[in-house]
Amino acid sequence: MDAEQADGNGSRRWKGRSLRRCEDDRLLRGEGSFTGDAAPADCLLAEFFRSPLACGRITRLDLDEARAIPGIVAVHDAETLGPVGPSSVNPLLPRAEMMPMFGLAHGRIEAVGQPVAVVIGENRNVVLDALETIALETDGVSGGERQREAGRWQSGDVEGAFASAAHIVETVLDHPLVAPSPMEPRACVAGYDGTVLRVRLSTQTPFRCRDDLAAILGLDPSGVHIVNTDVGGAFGGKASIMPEDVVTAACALRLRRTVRWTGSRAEDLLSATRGRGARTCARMAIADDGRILALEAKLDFDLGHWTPYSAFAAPRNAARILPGPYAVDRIDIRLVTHRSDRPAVNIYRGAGRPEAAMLMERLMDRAADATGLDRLAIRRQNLRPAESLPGLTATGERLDSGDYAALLRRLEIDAGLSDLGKELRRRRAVGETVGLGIALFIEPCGQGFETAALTLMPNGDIHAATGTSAQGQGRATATSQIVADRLHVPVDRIEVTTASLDDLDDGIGALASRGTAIGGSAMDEVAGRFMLCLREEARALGLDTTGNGRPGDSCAVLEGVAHERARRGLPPLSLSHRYQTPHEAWASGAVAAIVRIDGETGDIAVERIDWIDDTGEVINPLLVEGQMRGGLAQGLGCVLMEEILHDTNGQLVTGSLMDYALPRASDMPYEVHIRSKSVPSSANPLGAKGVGEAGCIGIPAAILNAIHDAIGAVGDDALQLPLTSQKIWRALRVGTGNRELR
Amino acid sequence: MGDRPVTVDRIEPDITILEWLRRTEGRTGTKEGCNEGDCGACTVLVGSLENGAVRYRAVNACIRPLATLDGCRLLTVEDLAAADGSLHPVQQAMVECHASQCGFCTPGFVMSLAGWMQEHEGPPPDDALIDEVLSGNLCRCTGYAPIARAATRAVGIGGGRLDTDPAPLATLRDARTLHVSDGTRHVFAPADLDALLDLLAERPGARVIAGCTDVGLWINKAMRVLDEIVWIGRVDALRSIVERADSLEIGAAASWQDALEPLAALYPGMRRMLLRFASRPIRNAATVGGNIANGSPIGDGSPALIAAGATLHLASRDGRRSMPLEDFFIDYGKQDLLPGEIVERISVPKPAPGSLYRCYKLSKRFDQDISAVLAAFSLERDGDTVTAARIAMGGMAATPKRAARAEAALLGQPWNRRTLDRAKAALAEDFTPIDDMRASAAYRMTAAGNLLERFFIESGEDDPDRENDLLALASVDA
Ligand SMILES: Cc1cc2nc3c(=O)[nH]c(=O)nc-3n(C[C@H](O)[C@H](O)[C@H](O)COP(=O)(O)OP(=O)(O)OC[C@H]3O[C@@H](n4cnc5c(N)ncnc54)[C@H](O)[C@@H]3O)c2cc1C
Ligand code: FES
Ligand code: FES
Repeated sequence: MDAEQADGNGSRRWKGRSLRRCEDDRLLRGEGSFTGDAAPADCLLAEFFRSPLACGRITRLDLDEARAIPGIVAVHDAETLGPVGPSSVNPLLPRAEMMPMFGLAHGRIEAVGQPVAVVIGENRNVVLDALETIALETDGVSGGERQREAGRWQSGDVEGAFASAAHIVETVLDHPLVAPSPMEPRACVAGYDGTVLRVRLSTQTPFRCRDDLAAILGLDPSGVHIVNTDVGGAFGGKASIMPEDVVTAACALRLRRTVRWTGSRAEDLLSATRGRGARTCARMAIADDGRILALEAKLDFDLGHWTPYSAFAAPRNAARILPGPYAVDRIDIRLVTHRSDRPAVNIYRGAGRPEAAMLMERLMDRAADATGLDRLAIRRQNLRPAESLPGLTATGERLDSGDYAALLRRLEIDAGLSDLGKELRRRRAVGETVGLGIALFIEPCGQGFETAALTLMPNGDIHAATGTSAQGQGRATATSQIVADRLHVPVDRIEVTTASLDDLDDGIGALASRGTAIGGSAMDEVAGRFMLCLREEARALGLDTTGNGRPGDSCAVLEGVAHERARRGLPPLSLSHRYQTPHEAWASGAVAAIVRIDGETGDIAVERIDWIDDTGEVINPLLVEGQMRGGLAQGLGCVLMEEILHDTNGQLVTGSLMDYALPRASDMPYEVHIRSKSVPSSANPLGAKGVGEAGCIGIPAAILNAIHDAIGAVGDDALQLPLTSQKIWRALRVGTGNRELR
Repeated sequence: MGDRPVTVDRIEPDITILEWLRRTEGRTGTKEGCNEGDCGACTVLVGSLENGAVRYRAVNACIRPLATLDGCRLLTVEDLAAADGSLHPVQQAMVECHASQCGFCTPGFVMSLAGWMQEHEGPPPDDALIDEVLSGNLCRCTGYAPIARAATRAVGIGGGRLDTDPAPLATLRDARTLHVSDGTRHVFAPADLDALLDLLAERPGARVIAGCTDVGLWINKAMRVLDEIVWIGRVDALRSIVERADSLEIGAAASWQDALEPLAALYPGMRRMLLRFASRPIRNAATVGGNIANGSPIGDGSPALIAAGATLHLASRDGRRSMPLEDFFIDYGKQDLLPGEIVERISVPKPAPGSLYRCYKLSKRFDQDISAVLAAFSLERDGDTVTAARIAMGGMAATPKRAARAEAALLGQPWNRRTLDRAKAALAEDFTPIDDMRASAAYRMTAAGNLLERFFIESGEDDPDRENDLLALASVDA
């Protein structure tokens, strides 16, 4: 643990320290309690019959044989399950087509893997036997591809700018669908005792799931209780209520029993929500001196066959954060969403930001090539000045704070970019295929509210309840640091409950990099107010408020109040708060990546990453670095190996972890240097920004640019994600005039 | 389990360790992340008596039947902390290095690292070793670097040796055949070879299992129901690896991890493939005999051993037979194995002095991936003339197969480009490659020829530095 630090008043400061996580001990001993770990003795098992076919009106669905198997308690299709209302969809794009989900397939199959029927039984074997007896036929007619212009962001005379431009550069980037792949697959355990539906759910958004379940099943929210549980990673893959959750809960309701569904990896790959899945095209008008005159983009996003709650977040983000950290007044960005016979697409770590960053950073490199300017110089020239913040972008977003030029400067100095450049030139001269890529990015960190509550326990300890949820971010540790500083007590006097449905009426959860900026601010504010309450209370109770111990240590006051209230039979003192962020906080960063390519095989090694990040005020550097490294690994996966593939019949090809490539230890870069250059956010009292998605945003863009730098002018078309060695190898052979081609 | 003996008598014969732990015992520290040996969330340590001490191996509990724990010590993440509650050095190091985030993969990493640390001596590990130790564990949260740091840190903390006292396990040893059943389905585990052969003679339809890394997937993924299972892992004679004057004798039930060093010592050209065979926890369970008996056309072991000139020894109650390994494979899914017969041992001859041997695994990923093509070559020369050539490949036919025509094209010829080109051309007559999602037939064919060429190039230079360079560059198999 870090040495204690003292602030001006002599009190210890907890924020900013690399405290070890209070969550770890339990998890390392195997005492974590994840959804699938809960198995009440009389629990029934649910499994889903999933469509083996890609589409069509259901012409035959035979469930009778399954129903007749001893040990099978119930088998339902949409008709017999009972009323299931539509799921809600966040209307972030009013013009996009909302396609809610209704649990099981209703008369039509819309995608391979879609749940068609649920089988409930006493044990796994009978349930699997029953599944095997179910037969499904369809007429094979597709639900059709439909597209909508879901949004358009326009400003200034774009046409004029292109007409007068000295250079026009363009690029097309395809982002394959990828699987969020939290290591814990999805799971749901639901029980009903006649009054309350108790649901244990592996989710990022327990409050919303409660409200969603209530609405979908026609219950009062007070009759739905979501049980707090450990969540084994999420990354957007557990952001929204899913058909399996709804159906499991509906079965528990009907049967008045506890029903458990534990999804397998195969089911996650087949029918959990996916991320990315976009084609992004853009062109940029450049003046002779390298100034960006205008940006025109068309973003096509696949939504699959239904829209989970956050389905529109990624496409909207991709559009609204263009043109990133650069000052561009004239823009025309068209966003088109598509319906297809595929599983649903939802947010995945980055959610639109990676798509925007890659597009912009490719254009910047191409602009450098077109104008003959240095890649750093052209970026420097076009970055928004720090003085322009807070300020509006051409897409109408309000950037709160940041100093992009300073990030780039720090990157140049700390990474020693000019020396690195020389070194690369030397290596090229001896025949190596190496490249350096630069990327800058911005990361919006969420809007809206979050809740927090504090309670003074009878022994003088503090119970802190936050509305945000945790899937590995170390939220409890960070929360305790925030509270400790406000209340002047050590962190070990604070116990934290995340996603605390017992203590809070409402809350959001962990999404959009918002946990610290918004959830932390809620906690910070309530703690500040609670401190005042405590002092007042101490005075009212006639206690000494100066504290008898060290200055700036309130333990004695807290204990005094707690004991006195307990003695007088008063309930524990408690305060709750709902914090609404006035503005969105925007994090930013700059990344340099060095790659080496094996000219004979196309194999790519990421040799080094240098990364300067502005995450605003940092509560716990250890946790921040953990988020950054984790994001980096996923960013690397997206750019180098991950891709969901279907064959021509709509069947999933990448149905197991043998065939869907997740990064392993040996895939990590040799060297990673992470530094932070923080500008506190002006959007919230903590000054915090988000960091959860950063690694997925800047890293892929920098690696992509580095690969282009290494292999020369092959054209952007030839290098589409994921950049497997096979693609690189082909690109090396197809392109002519490659300086490295032997 | 941990420190206490557990008796289980009525179970489903194919229940896995993982399912039993989680559902029957309610011990949920061990996680299920994939149920097919890919992610390592289910990693546990199995301690067994070997040469008078308990040896621990990290294995995947999700594909391993419970019955294979007879007489073994099972340690799960719940067992690692000391009696006073203090954490095992690996756990402690993971806290210090922030190596756990959501904690779902964590128990698996802890067990992989603890199993490795138990046998690790000497200086802290280098990156390559850590990557290899972690090759069977996936983490989506941490980006691995903190876990790798924790591995080094744990060695620094030191201690944490697991109990190797043989006494408790020795008392569990007996010569009786283990038989557990749920009433209709059965699993048997004979304690010696005679009992095993007798049992198989009586029950010729029973399914032999060894490491169960292939059969485990039939159960979990293909949902196959096996009525009678015979586990051969209790038979010590089948697990032995013995070096003779002119050969290495590998018991059929020896694991690939145990066979790795002895094989690589004889055939350095096999090491890299062996390190890339599945992942370490799979190699800890997977056996050499199982790989061969399974007969998969995309298995790595058989072509590598065929090129080395291995002989296969089969045994049944009626007697023993031997054959060149390549003759064992008749057709897709069809091996020359009679009912009641088992693979007993594999003899791998020591390479002739001056002979060349190389083995290349071509797959899309470096770790934990199935080969598109596995190509193994061995060559003897007298001066410039080829006096013996063995070429065997996987992924190129319905079985692991020798390239008879290409070999003939080499034999008696000078080892030069012209001969190489003829041999490359002959490969097209030897093979009709598989065509699937891993690679097209055309790709496999081209790659097979190119690998032969690579063998030629590598053999042309005796300078070991140059060879190492080529190996390092050889990201064709990365
Ligand atoms: C994640 C994963 C990765 C893998 N990666 C690879 C890889 O890279 N390369 C590769 O080649 N394989 C790989 N495999 C496949 C498998 O691990 C190997 O084939 C392994 O060697 C099989 O041995 P086993 O002891 O586990 O066989 P088992 O599963 O126990 O048995 C396999 C078959 O052999 C029979 N059998 C076993 N022993 C005998 C015997 N002594 N006599 C007669 N019949 C016998 C069984 O009846 C069964 O038909 C992988 C498997 C998994 C799950
Ligand atoms: S659960 Fe993934 S390897 Fe066993
Ligand atoms: S800590 Fe979450 S998967 Fe590793």
